[in-house]
Amino acid sequence: MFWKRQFPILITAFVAFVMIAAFFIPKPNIAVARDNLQQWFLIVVTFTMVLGLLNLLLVSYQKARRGRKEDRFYQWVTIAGLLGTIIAGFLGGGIDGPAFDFIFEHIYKPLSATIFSLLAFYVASASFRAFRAKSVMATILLITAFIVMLGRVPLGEWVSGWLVGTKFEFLYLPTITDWIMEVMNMAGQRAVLMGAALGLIATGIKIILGIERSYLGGE
Amino acid sequence: MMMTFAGAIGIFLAGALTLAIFSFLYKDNPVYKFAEHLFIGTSAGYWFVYNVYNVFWPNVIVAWGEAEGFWAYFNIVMPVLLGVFMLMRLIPSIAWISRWAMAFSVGMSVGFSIIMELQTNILQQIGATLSPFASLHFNNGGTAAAVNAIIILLAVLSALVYFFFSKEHTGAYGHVAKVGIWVLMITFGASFGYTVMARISLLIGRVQFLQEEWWVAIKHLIGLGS
Repeated sequence: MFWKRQFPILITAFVAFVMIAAFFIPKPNIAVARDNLQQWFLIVVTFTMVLGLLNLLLVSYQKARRGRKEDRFYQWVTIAGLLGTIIAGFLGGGIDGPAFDFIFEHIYKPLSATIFSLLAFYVASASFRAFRAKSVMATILLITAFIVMLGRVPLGEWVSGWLVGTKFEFLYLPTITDWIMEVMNMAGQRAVLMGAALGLIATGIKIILGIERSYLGGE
Repeated sequence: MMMTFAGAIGIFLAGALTLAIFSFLYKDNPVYKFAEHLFIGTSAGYWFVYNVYNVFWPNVIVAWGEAEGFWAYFNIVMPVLLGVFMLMRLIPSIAWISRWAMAFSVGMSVGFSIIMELQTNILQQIGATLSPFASLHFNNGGTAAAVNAIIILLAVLSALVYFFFSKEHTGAYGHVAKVGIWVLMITFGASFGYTVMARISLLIGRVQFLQEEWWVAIKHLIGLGS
């Protein structure tokens, strides 16, 4: 039972302690220990990727064999894409080889960019539902988003361009957008970052002390 | 623009996959599903291969060849052993061994992020908020910067007050918290607008690709272009 429950908590506490101590104690030995642990972590992450990869293969294969009939073909596409990329990477001359480069340039990159660009449509349609000016808060959010979007495109410069050179120049949309981004947005982001950091540190201390152990499967 | 046959095939494929993803705007369809599953497979494979070449190869294989002394080998064997333990998760009877590797990863992440968060997201942010006050002045064109510095300080404080839930948001404290919500709403609105613009620029990039490269590749393949 010790090896299953207490030992992992001891490992977590020890490793976290070394990382924190290395910051506060300026001794070369502890800095070397920290650097070595960071190196270990990178290697363990590679194995974690292997685990994820095997899991993806296993789940896709199971679905391809016993899943819904109309979805089986697409599971084979996932498996083919995965194995094809790996084979191209290892047998096609490495990551700088032509086969791997072809997959990156003509399959991965366009698919990745297009999927993210697709979000433009969905964010826009979601905003129609979410941004109804029902309350003061929603109205503030709506107006700010509208100004920032308009201030970033030539249309914003065009509609408010006549203000340049007058005493109302401060209402020029790109100027307002810059002020919102550099003052109000930055202040809000700072508060969010500080709040999140405090929450993360509190959770980290709970993990080190063994109070929070959901990463061990809830035991 | 000179184009090789292989290059034209590659660009044609990229354009076809781009259109396959965009076809989802009409409705979910087999062409989109094909492109989506292909993306899952290739992205998983791509990052795996990338990691093996850039992390595993230099830090394990090359390092093993150059290692001298007990500690050099120890620093290679231990993480590999932990990595193998991680894979034990796939064998139910000994899956519990993977907890050691998981515990190591969690400990590293926690130790690293506590220091990083403390340094970058707390101390540096406090410093950046307060440092303008060291040279605050309202003359020689410094008024705008001074007013902005005061607004930033008040906005940060009010938003932090809103995040503090140990005290009930009533009375004067509640009013400050309300200002904090306004600040956060402006922030979310600005972030939203900024994100939409980033996505739109990606969309423009894809449309430009279809117009300027894909179309040229098609003309090349059917013998109309150079």
